[in-house]
Amino acid sequence: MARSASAYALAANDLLTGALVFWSQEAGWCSDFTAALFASDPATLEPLGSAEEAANRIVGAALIPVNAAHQPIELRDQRRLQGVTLALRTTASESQQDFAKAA
Amino acid sequence: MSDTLDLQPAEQGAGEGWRLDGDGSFTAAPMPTLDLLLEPEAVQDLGLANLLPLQSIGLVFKTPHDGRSFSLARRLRNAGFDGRLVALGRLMPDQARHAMQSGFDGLWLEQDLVERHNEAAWRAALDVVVARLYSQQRLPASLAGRLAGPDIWQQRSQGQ
Amino acid sequence: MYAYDTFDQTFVDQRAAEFRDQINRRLSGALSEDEFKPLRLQNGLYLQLHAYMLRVAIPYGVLNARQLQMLGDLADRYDKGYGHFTTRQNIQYNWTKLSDVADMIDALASVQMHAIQTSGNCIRNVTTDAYAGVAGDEWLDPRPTAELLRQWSSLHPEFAFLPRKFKIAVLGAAQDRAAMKFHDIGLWAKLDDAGQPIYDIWVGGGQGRTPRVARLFQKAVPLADLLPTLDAMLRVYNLAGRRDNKYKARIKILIDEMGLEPYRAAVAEELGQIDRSVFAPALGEYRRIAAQFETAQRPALQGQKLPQGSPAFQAWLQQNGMAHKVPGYAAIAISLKAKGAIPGDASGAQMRAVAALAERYSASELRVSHRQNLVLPWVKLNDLEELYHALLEQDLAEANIGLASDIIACPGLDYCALATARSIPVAQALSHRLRERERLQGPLDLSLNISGCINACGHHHAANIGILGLNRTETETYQISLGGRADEDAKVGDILGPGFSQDQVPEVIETLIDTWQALRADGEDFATTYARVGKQPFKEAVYV
Repeated sequence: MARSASAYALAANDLLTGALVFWSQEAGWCSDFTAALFASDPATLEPLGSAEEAANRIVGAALIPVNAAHQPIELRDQRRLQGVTLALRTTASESQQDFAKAA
Repeated sequence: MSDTLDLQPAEQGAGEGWRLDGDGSFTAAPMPTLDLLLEPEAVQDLGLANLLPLQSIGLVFKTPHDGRSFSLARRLRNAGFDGRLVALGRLMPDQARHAMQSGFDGLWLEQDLVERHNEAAWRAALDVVVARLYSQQRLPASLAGRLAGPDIWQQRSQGQ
Repeated sequence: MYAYDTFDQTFVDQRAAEFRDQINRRLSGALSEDEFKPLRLQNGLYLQLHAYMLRVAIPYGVLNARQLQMLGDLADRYDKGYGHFTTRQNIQYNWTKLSDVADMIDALASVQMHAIQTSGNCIRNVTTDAYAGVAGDEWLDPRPTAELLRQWSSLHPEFAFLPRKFKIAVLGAAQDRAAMKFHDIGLWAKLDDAGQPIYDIWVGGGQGRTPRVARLFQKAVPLADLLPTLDAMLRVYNLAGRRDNKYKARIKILIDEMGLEPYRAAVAEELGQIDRSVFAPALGEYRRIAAQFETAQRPALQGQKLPQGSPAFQAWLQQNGMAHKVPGYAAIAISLKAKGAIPGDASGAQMRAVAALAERYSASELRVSHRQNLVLPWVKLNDLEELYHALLEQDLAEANIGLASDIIACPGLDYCALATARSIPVAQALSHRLRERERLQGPLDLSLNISGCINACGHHHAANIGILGLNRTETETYQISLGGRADEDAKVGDILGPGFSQDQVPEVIETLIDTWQALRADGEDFATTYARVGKQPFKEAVYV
């Protein structure tokens, strides 16, 4: 467990869609991290993760250690919550026009 | 590697279970009587030649991820072992095909494993599979049904 | 190219049905995730940070227009409108749902494609030269061998649960354009005095956390002995390879620990036990497959001339064109590395557009290169200018094949569950800088590869300039290596020194390029300069 963690959230991938989900304050899975249940004792979340995996609802249950502001401490979790950080499509036009001009 | 072996017969009738044979038949059966039950690590020490005269050998799969016993089966068959070869341990129905096509005559499965995957999955283990490989090594004589018969390359070469 | 007969089609149809059944059993709970994992991986299905990722096989990088069109359709229908071509000549979709995968596999089977063994601890998709069959320096078309190996290894019952993944590459030319010496087994096909195929077998190459250049296992193995030898090599590995530590489970570690000579002896002993009659049909099979590729070869064309065209056209042809073994044709690479692009990504619309161009200008044939680009292998010289303009319209005429801006990058921490740092944003930032530099200074003759973790899917070890993304105290840090190369003189790069922040990387790379340009002899490429001067001047320039 991360030494500086104030609390933990439980994350997983949805079995059917693979989408990133969190154990919510409503005792179900949600896609909004701010709605996640934060527990100071990881032992309260770990059995939940195992039970939900066994019930074939999710895959890859893992704890996310967070700071006092409920921000993830670990880089991998930070990036995962951030989502894909790049523009998905890039046009080549600009570059090709540059070269056409230069040529 | 020793020249002579003090082979301990495998524990007999140690548990209830099921046998899956090369023709796809799936029946309740006690653990088979085998001359030797081997985990993959042990084979190197025993020496292949010492195993060839045996009538029956069981090879254990410790986890579904460990494929060594498939190669051990093939090595035994290549060396001329023509006794009964049984796969035991933590196999999945999806690996039944691999076992038979690697040279096993059949599988013996403990009750809990059969229940885990449910009986129907084991009964269907040889139904929804790719039955004809491109290149198939020598199969045990006991193999019948979907998995028996010439491979794709043989069929092509015979103009079938 | 190779076309399925009813046996091949039945094989992929049965496999599609088998995987659909496995998915259904997973969803019903009959298969646990631990059990399903090796089964889904053997069918190319990963679970990544945000979704399932499906990797589709493009055997030895060869596909036809209809197949590329289907890949584009799948991108639009089941993904977010794009796909990612990989360094092993496959394509992967980053946003698939488990509930859709069986339908995707059925759609692939309808165009003679599949996802068999694109992942998992089994024999992976066999790769080769993207210019196979058309390269001027080729002495034997490696594709029949690759197809023979595809068939032999597909659903191999004994080698489906190996200690680790197993990658094979085949070459048949003087130049290595497939990073053959970074494969578990590399085959360098040649011809004997009677004109029959023989193979130099290399073993134990690989990248990852313990990079190794393959070592010569045996020279001049005749075709008749090829499959028995591979069978014996794999069996010894399956039985003796380490299973206690996945980072030490590749065959390169077995060779390190066992020694090459004892490994050779073990394989020889195994070979002595093999029933060779099993492999006898392989010779006829090879001839049957080779005949299909030979039929698809085109005769020399008369009256074809290299067009003059604009200077921009000439620059594109110079950079992206390749001399063809058949007079009258050129092989043309389509760069997926435009300024700021995501290396290897193509949209569904682009895939369909390229498929249409292949149909019109390249006998409906395409290739995927290990540098994550596409190749049109059969373009008539008289069609080149028209093709160039058609590519321009599709934003696909970037003239940077083999240059610094032709960056290899893995998906990194934007997608990958194993990654320790992002690689695509680094590639995009560098691409802007380097493409601009190439515009001002002309071609930058060096390779630059980026991996987002030590597993090295972005081939950083094998690049002239390699970048490895690491997590240092929860911060993305990038370690630079120099002097690696993936060609026939393969070499693992040397680590330059302490790593840099993401913001620093572009400046550091430019400093390294400045240093090379100051040190290089006339016309010298980066690798040659580095081999001559070593690491020190670069280190001094960067760590001031």
